[in-house]
Amino acid sequence: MRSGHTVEDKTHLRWIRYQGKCARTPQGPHGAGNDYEIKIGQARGIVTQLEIDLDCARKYLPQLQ
Amino acid sequence: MDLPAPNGPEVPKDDEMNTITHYPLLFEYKDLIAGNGFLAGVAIAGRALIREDGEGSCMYGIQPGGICADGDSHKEAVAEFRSVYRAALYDMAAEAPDFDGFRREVQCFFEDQDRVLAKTWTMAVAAVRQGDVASDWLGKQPADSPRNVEVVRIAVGAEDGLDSPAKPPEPGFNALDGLARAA
Repeated sequence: MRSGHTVEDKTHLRWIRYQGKCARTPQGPHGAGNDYEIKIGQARGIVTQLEIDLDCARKYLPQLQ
Repeated sequence: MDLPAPNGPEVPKDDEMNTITHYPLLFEYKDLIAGNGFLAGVAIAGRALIREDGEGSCMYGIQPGGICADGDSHKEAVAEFRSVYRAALYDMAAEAPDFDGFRREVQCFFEDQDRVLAKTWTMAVAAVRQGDVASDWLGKQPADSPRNVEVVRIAVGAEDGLDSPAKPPEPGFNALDGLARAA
């Protein structure tokens, strides 16, 4: 992802902002600040919502179909 | 064995042959949200997309975009999506200084569509209409049904012309459902 994004841990969700768009993901069972692994479905949602180029994203996440 | 013609379509690789089904959804939720000194009713009519493949289901918000939820089945994904949606409202209520700020934030949330998956949603509607997707587990509603969000202030205190409540509303009143625990 190009620079310019921000990541904020809110009370319940992690808010990821990029170029005026916002994607929200769960923070995991133990709250903010952990190394919660998100599932590929959620990664796909972040990519589409933030309008990241899918071919570019696949270079880092080949699992994306 | 038939071979693809030169310069013809590529033969899909094994992982690309994994069947993927998209279901276009319309949803309506109503919530009562506590914020900083206000209580708000939020009624939303939105659009979402369920993607099912061999590994499970994922429900993506189209309008509003920006939220999604995984599950081993579409039922799990739908239930989790409901929870994530409510969590997003709770986050907005926690940060909004007042009711007007909360209403603005919810409106922005609703208008921030997933424009990429919106195209998939439209194609999924066509697939359902053509009978290519079995969606008997879903009720039917016209795809062009109006989508909107309404945020109204619920009268609870002196400034609403009522006797002051024992305790004014605050975001701490909001709580997501928890798992049942063994006692």
